[in-house]
Formats: sequence, C-alpha cells, structure tokens
Amino acid sequence: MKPALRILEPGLAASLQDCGRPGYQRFGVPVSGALDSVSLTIANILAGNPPGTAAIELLGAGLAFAVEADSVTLALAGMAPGLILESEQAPIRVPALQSVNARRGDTVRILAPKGGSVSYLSVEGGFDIPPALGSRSTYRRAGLGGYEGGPLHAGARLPLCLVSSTRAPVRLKIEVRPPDVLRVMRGPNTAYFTPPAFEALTGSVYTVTAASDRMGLRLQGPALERAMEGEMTTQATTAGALQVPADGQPILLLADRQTAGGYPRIATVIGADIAAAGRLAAGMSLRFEEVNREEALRLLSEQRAWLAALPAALEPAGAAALTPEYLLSRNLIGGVTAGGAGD
Amino acid sequence: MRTSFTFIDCGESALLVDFGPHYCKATSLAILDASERLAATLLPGLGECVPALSSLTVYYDPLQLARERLIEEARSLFAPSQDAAAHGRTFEIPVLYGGEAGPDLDSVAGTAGIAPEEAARLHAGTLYHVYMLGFLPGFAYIGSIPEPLRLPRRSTPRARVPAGSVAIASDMTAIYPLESPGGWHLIGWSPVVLWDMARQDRPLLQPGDRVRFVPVDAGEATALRQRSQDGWRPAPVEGG
Repeated sequence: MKPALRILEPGLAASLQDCGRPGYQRFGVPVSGALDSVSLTIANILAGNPPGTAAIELLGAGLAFAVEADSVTLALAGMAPGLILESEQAPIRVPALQSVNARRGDTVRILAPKGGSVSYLSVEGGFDIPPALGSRSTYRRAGLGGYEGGPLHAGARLPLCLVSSTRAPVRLKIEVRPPDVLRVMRGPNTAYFTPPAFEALTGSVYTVTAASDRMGLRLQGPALERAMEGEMTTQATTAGALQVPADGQPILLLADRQTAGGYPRIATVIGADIAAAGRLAAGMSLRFEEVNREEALRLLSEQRAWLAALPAALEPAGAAALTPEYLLSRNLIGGVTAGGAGD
Repeated sequence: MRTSFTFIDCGESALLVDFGPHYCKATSLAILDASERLAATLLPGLGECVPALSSLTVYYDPLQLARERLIEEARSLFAPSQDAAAHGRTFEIPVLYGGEAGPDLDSVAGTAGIAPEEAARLHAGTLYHVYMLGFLPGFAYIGSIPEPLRLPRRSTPRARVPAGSVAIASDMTAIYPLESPGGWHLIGWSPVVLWDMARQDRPLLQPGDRVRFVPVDAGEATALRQRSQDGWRPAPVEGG
C-alpha cells in the first residue's frame, strides 16, 4: 500500500493548499492557495521542501491522523502551538516551528490554537496528489484540486511522495502572530466613498465575524458611507481588497475570492500584510493604518528578505520530551473530560 | 473613447486600467487585444492580465517590474492608432427555452409585455460578444441582450441554480457552468458542458468569442446532453 497519512479526525475545514493557482483568473478561476502564505513557507522550510509545496491547511483545532508509512518528517507552523505524537513509547508534545519524525502506527494530533486559527502541516517530499490547473490548492466551490476537490474527511488517505523520511529534526526560533494592525493603500475605488468613510476605516476598530471564510473576512465596525450610490461596473478583484457592500461593512478579500466583483473597494491591504490577515479568526479585532506605495514596497521587500534568510536560521532540534502539558493538552483537544465528579 | 483611461493602484502589486463606468463592445475588444499583447511581452515580473467589462487589471511583482515601466507599456498598447484585432471564435450554443428549464421565461416576457416565445426568439436572435469571465470558473458575461429583456437581478437570489441554466440580468446573459446560488433570471437550459476542468485547461467560451443561441426542443437537448457527457463540444462555426 502506498505510504500515506490517514485522517482520523478532520477538524474544521482542513484542506490541501499550496501557493495557489494564478494564471486562470481571466477564466473566472480564483487563485486560492494558503490563507497565510508565510506560515506555509515556514512549514515547508522546516520540512525541507520548496516554499510552495502543498500542505494541510487547518482552520482551528481537531486534526488527527495516523502514519501509514515507514517514516515521515512532519512540520507544523502557524497559530497551533504544537502537536502530540503518540507512539509505542509515551506520547510526546512537539512545539510548532520544529520538525519531527513519526513512524508507522504513530498517531498525531494537532493542538488547538490560542489565538488566530490557521496552521499548516507539511511533510517532507509533499503529498502525492496530482495538480489541477497547475496547483494542488483546494477550491471547494468548483471541486477543484486538493483531496478529491474538497476538505479532508475522516478516513481520507493522503498519499506521500516519500516512502520514508528521517530528516534530522530542526527548529526555527521565530514568532508568527495574528496582527493587531493591517496596513492599507487607498484604492482602487476610494472615490465611491465619502472622505469620513476612509477616516472611519483607519480610525476605528473592526471585528472579524463568524461569517468569515476562505473567500473573505467579514468585518464589523463603523459603516462606510458611499458618496455615490448604484452598482459599480464589474472589475477584477485582488487579494487584500476591502470591498464594501450596501450595508457598509467591509469584507477583506482572501484566497478564494471571486475573480471579479461589482462592490467598490475602499482600500487594499498591502502585500506584506495579506498573509497576516489570513491568520485572523472570528471574534478578533484589528485596525487599519494607511501607508503609501513606497512604504508598501519597502515592507514587501523586507518580508521577502526575512523569508529568504530562514533556511539559514534552521537549527538542530533536541529530542522532544513528554511534558506535564500533555495531559492538559489532551483536554484541550479532546473536548470532553470523562467522569469529572466535581466539574 | 480609448484615450480616456486612468491607471489606479490596487495595492502595490496590481494595476487597474480603468475605462470608466460605461462599456461597449469596441472598448472591450481594445481591452482584450491589449490584454493579450501585454501578456505576450513576457516582461519580467508581469503576472496575470485580467480583463473585465471596461477595465483591465494587471497583476505584477513590483520588486521585479517598475510600475512606471508597466504603465508605459500599457499606454502604448492602448494607443488610439492601434486597431483591435478580432480574433475570437463564433459558437452556436443550443438552448431549451422556458418550462422547467427556464422557470423565469414567463415572468421576463410578462414584464416586457411580450409572449414567452417572442422573448426566447429575441434572446436567440442576436450575435453576442463575450466580454469577460468571472463569478464562477467558466462563467461568461455575454452581451448585450435586446432592450426589452433587460431587467434588474431578482430581488431574492436563488440558493441553487442548476448547472447549464441560461440566465439574464441587466444587459447581460450567461450560462451557469456549475450549480451555484444566483440572482439572474433563468430563461432556459443548455446541454453544453462549458468547462470540464478535469480534462481541459481552458473553458469553451473565452473573452472575445462570439455566441449565438440556437433554440432546441427537449428531445434534442437530452440527446445533446448525452453527447456532452461523452465529451462532445460545439465546434466554432467561425474562427478557431
């Protein structure tokens, strides 16, 4: 049987994602890809992969899988604090940003994030899944890419490219957090709004609502008032655009956004902050801050330089150990604690 | 017309070439032509060129391709001296009008004050232009439909529009390539598979193509559906 990871519990909307499917937007196909491309890159660097290799994207907690390969090197990056590796010996807790080797029969459970939601689990060599229109990213609405075109489900077997992988564990001493502030540039349709609307956008706190998904973050805050009524002529959309429907509440467009839309866009989150926007989860608050194009370019260049330097910053990871946190973590991910008399 | 465009940043990595709120086939052809020729320059750092009704959005890597260079290139492609080459193909798309296949045909005809047969005849009697694709993979914005058929979108969108539904809204018509929610008026159904993404890397209808709808009866529609599932696609009657 082909080496694979067999999903025991799929968690919330786990799907395969890589760096997306550019090149088909003029045919109406969303770019898709990782919500947080920075964390995807980090997971791949830890697993020894090229940065855009497809990984499992998890939104929140609950993913558990069994290893059905001689060995596999795993790496977790993003908002989840770590994973629990259950083997013949005692279970061990492996923090995020550190790779680990698992063997046939081992079970892996991802711990619940404390803030934000999105995480990536990469395997050395990647998953042996054919690309669709040049990408392994899952676009659920059209049943395109990923594992049979949709989210992972219990029982799914994700085939691995490598029969065995025993790469020495490595780690990165960095911190990746959800943002308090996202920086925006004006445009492209700022003129459709009153001047106070832009001031409200950059001077208020917005909250991410539960209606958010991979298409966009639906935000709640001061309504953004239009200077011109009526529909706009449909234009192509871009990642990070803050589009504003009739109710005045902005939607921050993410990976699975439709390629075109008729809602005016008051501002656009800069390229260096789009990955951070992807980390936000329902209930979190944020502010927007205006920057000019020069600043956006400087920040983009800085971010690329930081990512390019990460492989050189890898250091050997010591053996992970069983810790008292393990029991606690089981409660965090297990949901129900049985028979607690005094609870 | 073609000289009145503006360049607008969509963040630092995309540039909108905007021709304003009004669109027409001549501008659209100029946009599609410029889009293809810009993509063909293979400028380092140039990403996708995505045409819309009256605009072109160009995605690029601003650390590889200077905005000024991109604007200079785009400006030359939209110069008034350039005549847009028409390189689209013409397709005849079979449509079963009305009944269960087009549940809104009667109400559309009623609003227009004409018989349903006349509404279908009007829809099928025009050679259309594919302006752009969007909303869903392979969803073509096709226009412009005859004046009497132009209506705003339905006040309540349907949660489920079947794949193949032929729909109208405002001055556009479209065929839903996938089942999806939708607010357009459904006047018919086409047995043609617009895009089998597992087999083809591009959709049947592309920006710049021409479309004529051909009424068929239920028996023909069923037979064509069977052939479509076996891989049949309408061949272009012109171009290609």
